[in-house]
Amino acid sequence: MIRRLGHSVFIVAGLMGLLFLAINVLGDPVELMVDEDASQETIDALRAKFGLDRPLYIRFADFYWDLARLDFGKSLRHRIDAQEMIFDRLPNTAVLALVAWAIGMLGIPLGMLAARRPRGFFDRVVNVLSFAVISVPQFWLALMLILVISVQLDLLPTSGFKGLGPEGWKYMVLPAMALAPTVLGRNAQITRSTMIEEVAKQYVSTARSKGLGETAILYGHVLKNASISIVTLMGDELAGFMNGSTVVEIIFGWPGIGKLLIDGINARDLPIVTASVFVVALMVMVINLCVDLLYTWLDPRISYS
Amino acid sequence: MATDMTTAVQKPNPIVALWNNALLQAFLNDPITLCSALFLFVIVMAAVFAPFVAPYDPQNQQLKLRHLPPDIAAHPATMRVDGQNVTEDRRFVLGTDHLGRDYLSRLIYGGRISISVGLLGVLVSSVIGVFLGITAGYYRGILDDIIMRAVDIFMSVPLLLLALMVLFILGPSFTNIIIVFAIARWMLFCRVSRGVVLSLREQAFVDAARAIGASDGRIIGRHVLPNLITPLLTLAALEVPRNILTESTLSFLGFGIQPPESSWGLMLSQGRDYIVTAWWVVVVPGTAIFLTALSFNLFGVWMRAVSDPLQRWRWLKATKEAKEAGVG
Repeated sequence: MIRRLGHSVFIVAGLMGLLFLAINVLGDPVELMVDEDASQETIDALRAKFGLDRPLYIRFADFYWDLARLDFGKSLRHRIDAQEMIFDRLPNTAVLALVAWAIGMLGIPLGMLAARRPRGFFDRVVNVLSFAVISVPQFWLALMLILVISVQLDLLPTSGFKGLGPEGWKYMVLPAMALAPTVLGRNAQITRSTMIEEVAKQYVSTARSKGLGETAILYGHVLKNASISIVTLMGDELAGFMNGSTVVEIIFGWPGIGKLLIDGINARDLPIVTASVFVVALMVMVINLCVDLLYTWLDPRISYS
Repeated sequence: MATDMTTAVQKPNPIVALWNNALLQAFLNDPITLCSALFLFVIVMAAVFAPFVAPYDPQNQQLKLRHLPPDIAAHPATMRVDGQNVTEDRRFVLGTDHLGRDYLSRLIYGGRISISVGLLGVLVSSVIGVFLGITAGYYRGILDDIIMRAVDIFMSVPLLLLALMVLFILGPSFTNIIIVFAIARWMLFCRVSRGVVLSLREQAFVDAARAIGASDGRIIGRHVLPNLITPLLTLAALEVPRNILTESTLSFLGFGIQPPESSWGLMLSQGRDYIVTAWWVVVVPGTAIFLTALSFNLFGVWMRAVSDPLQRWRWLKATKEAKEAGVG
């Protein structure tokens, strides 16, 4: 387990190292921070201010030391600690991602029902529909929801944010509805295909021959064995929350990490960009670790000793 | 059908043989796959022959005709030809955008970029991935460890995050989006090809080839690569829609294709401000992205099903049963 943890830390450290090298060796951090028409004095002043005139290896060590202390420096634009901004935004993204993810879980029973009669009518409907929802661009779905539900029907606000409390729920419905279908479709697909695959295995025939009912076989044996693939996917979905939530946060003006990152990139705010990437990588690492822990619980044959 | 069979027995005609091919029959008997393949064919053809298919110049602005809804009525459009104003009747089947440009023409030209990003991205990432995958699987050892560790690192980074990082550092452009896919998507091809190579290198025909003195290059070229084609094509068919969706997201966020070039994602991003007054500027390109991605996905899944011996049997059997029952 400790080895597994070391592996995760290595991955995050490696990723941040790549980011550092890409910014400092491929590009020039000062050029990423200033406008194209900045004068040489401004550039030199910034270089001295951020200690970028020091040798690369010292800056590299410094970079990791800052990361370890979660000290990303002040946002260039807002003059606030980047760390503070990140922790301010993190719950917003997390709550939105979790709500969408929870709705997406509905795909699992759908996939199970479809797998009961492969190539039957219900199966075909679920199959085509699940492919349809994973083929919809999430940001387009978001725009369509605004167009139909907010503009035409005037049911919910087009965008905005009023906190995570009870009065803010109205603002969360549409973003969650834009994010959830992709997760739902993937869950339905994987559940369906894994269940169909499992049903063809020998232990199912054995269970049948000893007189076990179909329902008991399906839920007692097949689902249990299929759960490993399903858990993997659910972990991946949660770990991939940034993929969808970034653009959905932008469209709905939801103040989360994704919006922070995009705004940071647009404002050439390097501390914010570094901090967002680091926190997202950290979250992904924690989620992956949790999934691995779940594995050992689901299938005792897997161990990380 | 019966007459076809007898002709095939009497003189082996390649066209009849192809017609009787079980795979082709399964394909023709599956309406969903057939429709998606036809749709892809039309879209790709329209993109390739855009200058001949598009009714008007996609950049030509008619500010008097801005935001016309889709209809088939003719509208007078004025243009300057050789310093003189010429008026011609134009029909905007899919309406016009905020600068009075024909939306159908823009859709066709935008599709050119979107589809080439999807296909080129897959091509580049698959070449890199397959090269590394074969190297790792065939030579094993420390190379294998390093490559697979790199795969692990790249797999654990969310695609959009990596894409934004790369474009933040390199700046947005068509080429840089392809570079994004090369960096962010090679791992899948690497994993698949490594897996196939690992199972192949233990097999008798590879041993036999080695025993008669075939070089590594020959073994890989003649024995390994042909066995990789089907799994790779299947993966590619499923990767193209993902790339198209990612490109549209990046262009929408402003980190992808830049004007005056256009892609479906960029059209959506430009149309976003007018969503209330002109619904078609958002509905049209989105539908194009959706249908293209859906067709690629459905086609890819069909390919995966028929290339898997277990599932293929099920498909062919279903086709046969349908035919015997007089359906199909």
